[in-house]
Amino acid sequence: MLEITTAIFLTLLGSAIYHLIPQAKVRLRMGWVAALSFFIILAHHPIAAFAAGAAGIFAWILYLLGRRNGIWKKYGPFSLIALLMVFSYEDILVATDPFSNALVQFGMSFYILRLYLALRTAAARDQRVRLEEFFVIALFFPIFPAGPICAQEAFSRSAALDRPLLNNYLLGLMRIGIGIFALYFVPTIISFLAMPIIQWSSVLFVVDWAAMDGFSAYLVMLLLFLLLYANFAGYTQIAIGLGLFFGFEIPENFRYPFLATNIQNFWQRWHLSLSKFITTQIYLPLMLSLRKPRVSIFLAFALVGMWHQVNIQYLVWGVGHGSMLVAYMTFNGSPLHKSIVSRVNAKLWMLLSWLLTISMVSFLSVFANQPGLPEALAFAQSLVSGW
Amino acid sequence: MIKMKIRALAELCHVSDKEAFLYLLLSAAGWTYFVHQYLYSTGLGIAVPKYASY
Repeated sequence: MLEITTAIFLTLLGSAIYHLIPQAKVRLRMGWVAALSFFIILAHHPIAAFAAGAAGIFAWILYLLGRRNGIWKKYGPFSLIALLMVFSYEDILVATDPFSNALVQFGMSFYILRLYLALRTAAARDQRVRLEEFFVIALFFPIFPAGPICAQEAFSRSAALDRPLLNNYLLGLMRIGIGIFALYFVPTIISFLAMPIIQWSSVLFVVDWAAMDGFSAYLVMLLLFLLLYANFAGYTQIAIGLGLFFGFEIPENFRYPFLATNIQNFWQRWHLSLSKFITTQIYLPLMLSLRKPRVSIFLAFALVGMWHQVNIQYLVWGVGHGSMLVAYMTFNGSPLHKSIVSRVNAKLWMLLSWLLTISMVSFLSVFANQPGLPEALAFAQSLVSGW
Repeated sequence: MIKMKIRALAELCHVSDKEAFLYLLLSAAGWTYFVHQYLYSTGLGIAVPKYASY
């Protein structure tokens, strides 16, 4: 709780200085945000700060090369993916505690994607991007650990800047309040609900699955997914709120994902910035070259699974989501689908679809977030035993 | 008056009136929890029954 207090205090102070710099001096303003972000990350994790800063410079050099040569413009951004693989495989960013370690590793994945998006956006719009902009995109501290994945559009002149400053600060404080509710209060309620079933471990997702029957494991799985959502959505609300202090419009990342009634609808509600990235940067290019939508969507999600973390659990996550989307694309609108829908009560069908969707996405998320493969398999085994 | 304020908030956030009201409620709950926890964790909470459980 004290960490969020520090973050809010530093952002209030930093944004006050930011607003004291005249609006016309855009480069100075962006430079200030980049420097502030760098020092905040440096205080948390020095290696991460330097690695992120170096990647920002690297992306900027790629951008400059791309402006002179079309081949660099087209293929240069792929070298960022190679950089991401180095970060994923090498233990250079291992922190002392597992949570901090995960935070930093995910941060690396997110900012590499942001830089990739920044390069692609700049190339597509043929716009000039300055060094300090790359630094802000890479390092802006509220979105550093876990997104949303956004590039120039979030930091360029937005509607938020045209509003009165007080409105932005009040809106920001409201968003932070929602974030605190989701990030700190919801887990308290969830742990209270789950107390009769399990003893919570200090590390998220570490549960003794072997000691549970199928029904209990199913309930815990749903609660853990709800916990993941509260954590991620709460964090995003705080990032949006802190961004508003500077007049940046960080995009929304969630739209009530627990209301999704099919897997396609789920991806229109869950992690919207990643969903947009998958569609525009992976699915559409694959689709253009392969001309096969089902294969393209399957490959795109398998790749995104590996982007999260290079392990079997996340491969299962990616392949699982890809397979579900392919199955949905095949089944939806088919004669079998029409025949079932015409016979079954519409509300019952929607309820069953909702239950199946939430159960499947919860299973894949909890499976992927287990600390190792043996724990993930124990979780899967506990779900099918002793109902 | 309150309805108009909520409508203005809804327009700023690009959401429906109901969602804007929900935002306000959740935010108020979040900040209340924050103040309670902050006072509790820093020992500043005169009104918080810190040792009530003993």
